[in-house]
Parts: sequence; C-alpha cells; structure tokens
Amino acid sequence: MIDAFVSGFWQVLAWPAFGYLLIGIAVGFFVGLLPGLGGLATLALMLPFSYTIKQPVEAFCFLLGMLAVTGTTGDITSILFGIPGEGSSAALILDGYPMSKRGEAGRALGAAITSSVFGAMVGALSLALSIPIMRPLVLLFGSPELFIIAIMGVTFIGTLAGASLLKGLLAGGVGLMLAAIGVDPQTGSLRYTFGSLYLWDRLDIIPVVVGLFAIPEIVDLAVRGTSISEVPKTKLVGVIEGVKDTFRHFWLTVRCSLIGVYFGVLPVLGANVAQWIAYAHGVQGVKDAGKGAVEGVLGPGAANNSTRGGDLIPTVAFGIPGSGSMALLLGALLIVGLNPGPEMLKQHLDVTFAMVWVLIIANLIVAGLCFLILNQLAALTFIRGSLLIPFLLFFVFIGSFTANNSLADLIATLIFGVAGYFMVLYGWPRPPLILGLILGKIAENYLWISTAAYGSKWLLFPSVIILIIITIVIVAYPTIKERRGRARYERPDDAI
Amino acid sequence: MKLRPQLLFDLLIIIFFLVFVYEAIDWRLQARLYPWAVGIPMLALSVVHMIWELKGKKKPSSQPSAAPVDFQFTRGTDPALARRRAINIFSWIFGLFAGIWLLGFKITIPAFVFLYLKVQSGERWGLSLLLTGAAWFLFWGLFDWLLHLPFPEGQLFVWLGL
Repeated sequence: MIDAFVSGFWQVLAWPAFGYLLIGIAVGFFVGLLPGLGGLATLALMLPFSYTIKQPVEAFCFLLGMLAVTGTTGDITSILFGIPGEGSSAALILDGYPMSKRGEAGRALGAAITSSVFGAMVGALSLALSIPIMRPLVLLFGSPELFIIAIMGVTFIGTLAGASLLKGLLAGGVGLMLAAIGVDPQTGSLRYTFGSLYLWDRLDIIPVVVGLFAIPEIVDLAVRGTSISEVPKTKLVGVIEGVKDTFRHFWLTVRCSLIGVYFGVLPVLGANVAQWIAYAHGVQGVKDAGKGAVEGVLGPGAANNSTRGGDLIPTVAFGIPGSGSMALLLGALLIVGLNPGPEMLKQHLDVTFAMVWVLIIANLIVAGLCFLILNQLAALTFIRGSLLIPFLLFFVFIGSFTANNSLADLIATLIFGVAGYFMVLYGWPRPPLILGLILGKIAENYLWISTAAYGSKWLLFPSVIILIIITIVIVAYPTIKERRGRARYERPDDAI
Repeated sequence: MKLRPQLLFDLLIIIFFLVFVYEAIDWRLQARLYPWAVGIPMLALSVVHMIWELKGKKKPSSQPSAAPVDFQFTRGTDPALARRRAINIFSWIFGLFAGIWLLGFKITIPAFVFLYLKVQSGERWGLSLLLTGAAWFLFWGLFDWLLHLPFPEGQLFVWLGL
C-alpha cells in the first residue's frame, strides 16, 4: 500500500502528467473566477480531450486538477465581488463580501485560500484513509434517514434567520417548493409549469443563485456610489492574519472539512449543500455573523474543497458518482480503460493514490499562485463602482446564460434578483431558499421511496425519530437561548 | 395593528404557498405527496408569521442576533436617494435584458458597457471606449471564440427577417 502511495506521487510529478496538471489548473483557475461557468460545465467541455490522453494518471491530472481548484478560485469572486464564482462558493458571500467592503479583503482571501487548501488536504487524506472502511459509511443511511437529513439541513440553515426564525424556515420552505417545479419524477406529470416549456426541466440553480445573490449586491454598490471597499485604498494587509485565522480556528476548520467529506460521500448531496451546513456550523454563536465574521469564510472555504475527496470515495470504490462532476469523472475512468470498484483498490491502487496526490498538489499550486497575485486581485475592490458595475452585470448575464444557453435563464435571474432585493430589504435570509431548492429534489425522491417501501411506518424508525429530535432541538435551541437572554435583559438586577 | 410595507411581501409568501398547495389538489398521490407534505405546514407557518407581523411583534433592537445572517444593505444613504438610485440601477438591469433579447449579446454587451460608462457614470470618452473594447474582447475571445457558446440572434433581427 505504501509502495502504491509513493508510486502515485511520482506518477503525478512525471512528465507529461505534470504538464497536464498545470494546464488543468490554469483552466480551473479562470473557470472558478468566472461567475456561473462552473466546474461541471467545464469538465463536460474538456472531457472529450481525455480521449487523446492515453495514460490514466495523465488524464486525471488534467481533469481532476482542473476540478480541484475551481472551488478555491470561486471563493475569490464571492469574497471580492459578492457574486458566486461557483455554485459551491455562494456561502462565502455572506461574510467574505462584508469583509471586503470594510477593507479586509486580504484577510478574507488569506483565510479562504488557506482553509481551502486545508479542506482539500483533509478531503484527499479521507479518500486515502477511508478506502478500506467506506462501504458501511455509505450504507449507514437509508432513504428515510436521508429525507430527514435533507429537511434537517434546511432547518439548520433556517435557524440563522436572526430576529425571526419563522422567516428562515419559510424561506427554506419556498426553496423546497420551488424544487417541485417541472416534470414529476414519479408520474411524469407537469407540476407548476404554468404553460412554460422552460419550467419543464426544473429551475436551474445557477440563474437562481446569481440573481438572488449578485443583483442585490450590485444594487447596493450602485446606491452607495463608491468602490466595493468602503475604506480608502491602502496596501493589501491582513493576508497573514487570514492565514493565522485558519490555525486560530483550527478545530473549526477540521470539523467543517469533515462536514464536506461526509456530504461528498453521501449520494447527490455535495459541495453545494456542504458549504451551507459548514457555514451554519461555523457562525453558530458568532456575534457578527453575516457582517464579516472570519468563521463564516473558514467554514464553507474548507468544506467546498474537502467535498472533492469525499465525492471521489463512492465514485472510485463503487462506481457510484455522488454528483454531476463525479459522473463525468466516472466517464473519464471508463474512457481511459479503468473500471471503478475492487479493481481500482487492487490492480490500480497507484492510480487511486495518484488522484489523492492530484487533489493535494493542485491545491498547493493554486494557493501559491493566489498568494502571489492577491494584491492585484484585491485591488479590484478599490476600483470605482461606476466602472465595475457594467462588467459585473455583463458577468451576471453571461453566467446565467451559460447554465442552459437559454434566454429564459436571464428572466429567472431577473425575477430572483428582484426577489433577492426585497428579501434583503425586509430581513428575509436568502441561504435557506437556495438550500431548499438544492435539497428539494433529493428530499422528494427519498420521501417517495420511503413511503412506497414502508408506508408511514418509516416515521417510527428509531434512527428517524433520533434525527427528528435533533431537528427539533436545532429549531428550539435559538428560541430557548433567546428567552434566557431576554429574561436576563429584562431583569438586569438578577443577573448581577 | 401596524401596517408596514413588508406586510405586502409577507402576503406574497402566503399567496405563493396557497397557489402551490391549491394547484396540487387534482394531482395523483405520487405527484401531490411532496408538495403537500412541505406546502401545508409552510402555509400554516406563513399565516402565523403574518399574524405576528400584524400584531407588530418585534425583537428588542438591543439584541445582536436581530438581523439575519445574510448580506445587509449599507445604511447611511438618504432613503429617498437610495430608492431613486435603486430604481435607476434596476432600469439599467432590465434595459440590459431587453437589449440582449432584442439585439442579441454581441451588440448589447459592448453597447451597454459604453452607455453605462458614458451616460450613467459620466466617464471620459477615452476610458469609456477603452473599457468597452476590453469588454468586447473578453466577450468575443473567451465566450464566443474559445468556448463557442451558442448566443442567440436578437429577436428584432428575427422579426425583420435579417
């Protein structure tokens, strides 16, 4: 096993594999920076090139190297411009963008990049270590438990609604309902399409995320009439502080990385979900959450990168891709003549370990590159808003269009842009809506499978009851905490 | 009872859930199960929320957790001016969409960048033209030439048969 581990390392560093890795990193770097154009779409565009690459390790250096870095560079766009560079980087807007506005872009970027590398390491090591023990991990939960976990995820993020828990839960509910739009997977009947052909294929996440998150931020920039950064231009400082933050909150970064790995392993869930759960976990109990708390950058930064390692576990070991990008990588495995499953863990163990090394080396290279050009990247936040806005809107519309190459996506972006504006104006949190939309499809599938297989008996499964109790505790905890706080606030004498 | 503008938004949420639950009435059980399992409790919660809002139940402002964990609009700008600027930028956003629909991406993107810089921002001719050129080059080079994205022709050209 050690031989295969070392062999995998040297195979990645050998020529031309390392050259392919550098090309993959370069493509992934820019794809991650551009809003809307995601790793999945680019992987689909680049997959045909793997036909021309004969060696499996070389193919994975190119494809996995590209995919591995999109999360890190996507975080940069979210932090600097408030526009998600990747769907899996949206959670970083909540605290990363406020940090940029108050002139702490360097610290936010330092924290995001370091936690990303850290997350990628944890993901890669999890892949390496979990190979012998992954089967029971994947099979631990059935559809009833996975349905409750989906609801628990929305509830968890809904509790961050601040003054009104109900607003958070309702926003999550809106997302869950929006996920029901389109052709019903069970009966094939049309639901909530209102005569629109576009809605047959469900609402795509990219136009919704771009509209909901980017447009209110652009409107705010126009209203302020300043640059993104509200403080005068100075030399980029705080990068080292951001790096230190990762180590200051070491266990938080570890926990969020593990959240990412676990959500990567679970089928269909992935970085899009893991980032929000990690965010909610990261800012729990943090006073300035949503206003520029570094914990809100570290959590999703670590989770959206560690997911890649977790994602690869079921793909390599069982040939069960946990996400769209892994489904494409599975295709690449077959193209280069490898069969996922026991073969990958016996005859081609060196290739499996080479994947681990690709994740690690690609993230180290991109982190080094990012640190080299951080000053130039952060300087963008000092450019006058009046110069930036037309370019930001250009990327918003192009980013939405690239989701399905359809103008209808632009209409969806506009609708959700207006909705996002009013949600921010009236204090409705947007993250639960997005998580509801992402998890809705999965939740419905698991709900139906559970009901078809067990009737209503699944509601009495001990594991389900435990998960429901945990969900109730999650909902009730902020209220109990608030009542205690209010009692103390109203009776200051007692508190003394 | 306190009537506030956000009540209209709360009412829209109730209508949203009402429509989604009502639409599902005639569907088969398989299709209806999920929308009702989620929609009915949410409809009830949205009504409860509306009642609370009507009663004017608000958290004491001294509590730090009063705002949601999300982006907040910058305070400090005069509300009337902020409203005017918000309407202005939304007009540009909708104008950009109308331009893309009628004229296509290839014409609208450079035209929009130039008009925004010159008319809205009042930038100098040289800078406006330079940045417009950069935007056009980025659009053409990356999205058209390299990625071959299938940008549709403008509807106006379709109508005119050009």
